[in-house]
Amino acid sequence: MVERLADADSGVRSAALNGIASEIRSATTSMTSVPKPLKFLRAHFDVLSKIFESWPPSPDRLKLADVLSVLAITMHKEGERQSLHFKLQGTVDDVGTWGHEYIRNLAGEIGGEYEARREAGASTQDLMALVAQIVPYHMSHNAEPEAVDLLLEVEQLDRLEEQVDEKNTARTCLYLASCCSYLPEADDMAVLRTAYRIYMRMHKYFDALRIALKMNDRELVEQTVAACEEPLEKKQLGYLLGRHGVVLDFEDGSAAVQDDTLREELKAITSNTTLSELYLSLARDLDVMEAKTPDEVYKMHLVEGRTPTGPVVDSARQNLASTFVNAFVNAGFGQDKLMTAVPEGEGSDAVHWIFKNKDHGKLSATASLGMITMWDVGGGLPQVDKYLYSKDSHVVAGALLAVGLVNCGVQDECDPAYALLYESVDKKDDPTVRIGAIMGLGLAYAGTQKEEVQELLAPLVTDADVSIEVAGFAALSLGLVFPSTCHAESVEAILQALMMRSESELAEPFAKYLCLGLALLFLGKQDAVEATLEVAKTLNERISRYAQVTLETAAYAGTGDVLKVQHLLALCGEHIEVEEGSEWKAAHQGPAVIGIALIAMAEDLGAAMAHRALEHLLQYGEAAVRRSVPLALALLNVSKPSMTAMDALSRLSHDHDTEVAQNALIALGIIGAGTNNARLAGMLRGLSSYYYKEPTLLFLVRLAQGLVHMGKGLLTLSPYHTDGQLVSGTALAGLLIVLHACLDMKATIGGKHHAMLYFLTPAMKPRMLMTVDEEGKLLPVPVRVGQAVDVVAQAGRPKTVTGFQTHTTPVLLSVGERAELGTQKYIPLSSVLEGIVILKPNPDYVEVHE
Amino acid sequence: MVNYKVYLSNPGLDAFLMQPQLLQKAVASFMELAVTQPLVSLQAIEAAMNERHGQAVASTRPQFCWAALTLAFTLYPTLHVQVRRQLHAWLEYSGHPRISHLLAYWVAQLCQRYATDLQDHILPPALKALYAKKLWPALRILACQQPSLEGLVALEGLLTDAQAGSDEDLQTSKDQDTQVWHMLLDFPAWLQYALHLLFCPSGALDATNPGEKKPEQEKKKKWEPPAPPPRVGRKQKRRDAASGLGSKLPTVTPNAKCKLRLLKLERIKDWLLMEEEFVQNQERLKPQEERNQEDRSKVDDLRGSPMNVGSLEEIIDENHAIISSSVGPEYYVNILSFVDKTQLEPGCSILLHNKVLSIVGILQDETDPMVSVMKVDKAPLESYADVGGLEQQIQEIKEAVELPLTHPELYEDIGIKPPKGVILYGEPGTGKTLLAKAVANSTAATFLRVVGSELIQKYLGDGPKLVRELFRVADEMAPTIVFIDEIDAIGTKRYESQSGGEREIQRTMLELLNQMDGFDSMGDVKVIMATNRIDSLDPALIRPGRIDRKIEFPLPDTKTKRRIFGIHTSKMTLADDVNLEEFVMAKDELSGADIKAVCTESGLLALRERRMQVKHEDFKKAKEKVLYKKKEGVPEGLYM
Repeated sequence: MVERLADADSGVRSAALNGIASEIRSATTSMTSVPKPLKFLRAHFDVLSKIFESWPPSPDRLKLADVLSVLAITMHKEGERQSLHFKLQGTVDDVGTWGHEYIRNLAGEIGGEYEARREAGASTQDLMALVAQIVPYHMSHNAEPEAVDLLLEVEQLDRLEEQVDEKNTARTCLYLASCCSYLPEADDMAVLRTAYRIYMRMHKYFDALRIALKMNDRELVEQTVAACEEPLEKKQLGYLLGRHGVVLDFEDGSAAVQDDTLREELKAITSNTTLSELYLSLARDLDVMEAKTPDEVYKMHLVEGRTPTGPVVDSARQNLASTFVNAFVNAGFGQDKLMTAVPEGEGSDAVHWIFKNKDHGKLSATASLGMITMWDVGGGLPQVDKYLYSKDSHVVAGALLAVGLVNCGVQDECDPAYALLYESVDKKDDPTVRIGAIMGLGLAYAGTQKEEVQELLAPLVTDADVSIEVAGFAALSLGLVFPSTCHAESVEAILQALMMRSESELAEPFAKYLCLGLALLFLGKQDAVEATLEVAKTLNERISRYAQVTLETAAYAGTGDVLKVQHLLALCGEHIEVEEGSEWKAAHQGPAVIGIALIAMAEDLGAAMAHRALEHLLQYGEAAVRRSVPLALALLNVSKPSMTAMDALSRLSHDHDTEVAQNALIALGIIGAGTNNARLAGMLRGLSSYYYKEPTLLFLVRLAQGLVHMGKGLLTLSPYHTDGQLVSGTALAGLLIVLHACLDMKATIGGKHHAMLYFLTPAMKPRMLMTVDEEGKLLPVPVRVGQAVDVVAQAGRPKTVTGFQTHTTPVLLSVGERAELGTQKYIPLSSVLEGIVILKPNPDYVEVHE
Repeated sequence: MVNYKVYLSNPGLDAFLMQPQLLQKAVASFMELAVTQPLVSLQAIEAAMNERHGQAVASTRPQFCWAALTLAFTLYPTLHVQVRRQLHAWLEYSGHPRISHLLAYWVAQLCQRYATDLQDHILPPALKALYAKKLWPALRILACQQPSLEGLVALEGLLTDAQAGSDEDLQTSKDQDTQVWHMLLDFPAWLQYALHLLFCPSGALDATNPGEKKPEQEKKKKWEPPAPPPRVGRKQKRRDAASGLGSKLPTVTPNAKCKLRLLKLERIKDWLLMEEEFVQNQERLKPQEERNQEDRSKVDDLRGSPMNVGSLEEIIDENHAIISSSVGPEYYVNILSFVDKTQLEPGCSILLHNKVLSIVGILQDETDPMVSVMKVDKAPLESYADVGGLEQQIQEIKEAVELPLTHPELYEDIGIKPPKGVILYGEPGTGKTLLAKAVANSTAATFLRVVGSELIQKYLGDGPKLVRELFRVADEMAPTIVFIDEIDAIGTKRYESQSGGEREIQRTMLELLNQMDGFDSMGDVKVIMATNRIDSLDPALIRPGRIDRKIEFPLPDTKTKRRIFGIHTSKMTLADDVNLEEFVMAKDELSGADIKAVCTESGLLALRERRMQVKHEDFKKAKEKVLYKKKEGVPEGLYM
């Protein structure tokens, strides 16, 4: 037939050509070998291409070009792209008829060619025509990833939208979303935007909102909410917004809601007013309402060997530890056995727990009342109220902080927190009360971007007469209220403070919180930080590097930016000669280590690799670096007690360097926060007998124990929610503040300012899955809970969970777990089963009788 | 002129000084002014400062001073003496810590040129102490580069003044300066004397210092926690994973060839590159090798040589254990501190000191030498091309064994799990072993080959242990192909048997069952088995899940026979009259091995007659002979 092709007669030629073509198409290909016709024709490739050259343009010539193009894939040489070359000269339609393998090859060559042409500046019109053919083919043959890859390579992602339909939306968008964390900047946003538009086109508002929140684009969020018509679905969106801590204005603006009742309901949902109620009903359902005392957490009777009793132990510390443990364990339950319980026998000898603490201990004790009644504005405030008028300034400060804790993450209509707090902020004579009020404000309005708070706090930051302590806390509160907003006035205020303060003031540990507050404003904002970074370079050398590192790491939090990590590793690798009195020279290394974790924490891959990097840092780093490694580990494994992290931290908790050990203890608490992990609890019990003579370390062990049993196991600290895709800015901010505080353990948590631990509150969220019906009533349904499986780019409908167990809602979800509905009776309105999910009955469901 | 006035009179001065751009502008305008009219500019700044001072806005003053000083220092050489004096006066006036930093820098720069400035007539006395603190670097520069009497005398004056107020900072860097001191020995005597004056008093001060430090050392020794409790007990299976924060690379999830996978792999590569860079840098700074060398030699000394080998019986506490040596008696001995206690477990082999028998090391559990023999190091010569026919079988074995190791994504694309193992069965001589050899030849994976009978051991429990070892090694060296030939040696059906030997064989098979589809996943280990009696094998062994594919090797059909003849006769010299078709078409049941035998036999017959060619006649005789042998002497047609 090859010879026939060279024939003069066009009829013969055409017949021969058709013969070859049908041979090739009908050859059954096997995975392992080249189909026979192709094998045979390979030898004649040169002949054929010569014939091809000699033919005049005609339909036959086009066909021959097609055949040659197919042949060329077997003759492949790197970089030649012959297949594409012939294809471009051949017919442009019906690429699909030559089989899947051919299309794949072609797509690969198009990518290469596009790159080459773009560099040469040549037109890519003809390529686009081919792309337009290939993409629908891929999309209709379950090869969405390949379609996306091709479009990404030729930078034509917009075309994707037209191709998606009911069936492949989910897979396409999942692929897009998971690509984004690995693509370079600019591309990643384009990918997300495409995914957003696809979801909007398919009217999947919940998913669209997820993407919009991921992009941190307020306008898109509002648009999505506005576009969603269905009231039930809208409520579901409200739950997501509430979990993420975004407050929208439903009165007017683009997301306005006309219907009055719906608006009220939505408001209630997004402002989390029902959170306390739901949380308590979860607790009732799981039968953990009974308040726990710290002793029940310590489980001293299980500790063998040396028991930490006797006069050695600093009893003020012990009481303080009990305060915190009590607060963490009973967080949000509204009742406990130390604070809220009525002292028995009303007599004179029954001293309230608060007054069993000393000085600043009273502050934390009073504030713990706020944590116990967390989220319950109506029930909590009256209990706190009586302490507001105490004569003891520590108690007052604690009460103010408690007001903030009660309101944390919840917006009440009457807005009581501001009213209660704003007066005390200006109390010039008593810094303790002031700090209490400032922290309270920051916590109460975390993430709300309330302008009044800024007006109140910014002057405090800039005022040079105010002590650096107060200014530092004010900056932190600003950072908490406006995380990742680049709020201009706040930025200016903090910068001004940083430039004006004298060197001795900047040497205080609280000056660092100015930097941290500033950094929180830029959380995850990437490029927007550049200008401020430049200013940070001009600051006093005592603080300049610290400020730079903190700013940079916060701005690139969760991006996985490898270049930044490289820079940070280089910083950590420096061996700075530290002498007595010049420790500050290495102070920036701490945040650099935490920064590595912060940048890499978003995706599993980066996190796993960051673990490796941290191991190296432990091996080679100087003391300053080693000290912050446990904290970085904690950040990578928040509420996720993985075996490797636990082992490593338990090793570090016996370190010779006390500060490493201290940080490792806190880190153990954070990685186990709210998990009730038995192994971890046992480990901590062992540590408590090991450190029975060291009051500070014992205090930290107790704290860690409290954290592990936080909320009796109903809470999580993880800033990531909704299948680990979204990061809540306030939660991350709170965690960061505590971790940075740990860098200076002596001055903060181990010293006077242990109340900083309450900054964990914004990160505390119930780790529940509750299903409600259309009316908002609890609806128990069976769900399967198991380890999440990465299903990106997998064929068919793969299992999303593995090793699952079937439970009835409400259930608890740990980090890395996923749930799916175990019944066909209802349809969830949310694609991710987490938090509160509205179910509606499935119209197609038929009851099966046995 | 206008500019600076605007800046100075601006009520919002405080605000704009906070902003670097504006500050720079202001400084620029000052500088412009200063070049032309230094005195005017100074007066202006002074006036402004006084005004600020009056307003008691304390915080802006340092800022302003800083601006003014930046200006002043850049212009210092050009300024009038009067102006210089004024500047020094300001320093005293501001007394701001930030300025002292600038000062150090500045003094070092200018000292050698304007040493005279440091003399009394310009410098206000109160500043001397401050200056002297920062003078050490300046002095060094001065002494090394441009020794001049004038400067030295000025400095000496300063220092003696400063010493009146005790300045300990001065002494800190003294030691470093011995080098300078030696250099200066070449200088004239008067210069030495001058320097002697400079250094002596500080030496006197040094002597008092150590006395102060002593009491601190004598402080009561702080309570220290005891050594961390060791984690003894069961050794972790994967020691590496437990000791580090993940020495394994994370798995990359979409197995399909897509961009996401590429991106993820690139990300891992980036991280690894960073690690490499970091470690390299650190090694350059602080070579680990050298650090460890010393420790190592010390450890070697402690261990002594030769060492005894014993086995650990029981761990008593953190530092003591009971061991038994190979000779017999058991001892209660010490465990030396450098032995990794996490790796100790009862029953492991340990190194003992030759005299005191304390534990000085652990012998890593070595792989059974039996297993290492099984590894095929030299690839067999037979390749797929040497297999005549069997195309179907080749394809099946490739799909089941080779492709899952090389292209796992293909299976994931379809959504199936690749098969774990295959069994090859069929008449003797149909090419089962040959095909396995071909697989070994073509694959890059580790190839372990075992014969079923090898797994039968003399002692009770050795057989199963060998199987376990085999699969452990296979997992370690994954991807691996394990080829078990003649599996019927151990894999026969189970039945009630009285003899211990039989039961041991059955236990060996049970271990094999467990390894192939047991609790631990096999990962990248594929199993090929070969037998010619599949009907006698235990059904559990060949159930799907363990052996997913059963590949039959039938006797060759005519087409295959022709190819086999072709392969075997291709290197023989055949006479023209040889008609192989006759044998190919014959009805006799010839296996591949038979054909080979026929060819060899015919060659031998030809040799017997001293011919160099093989004739058709030879083939005929050879075939008869081979077939006769095969039927074991039973004449053809006896039972027909």
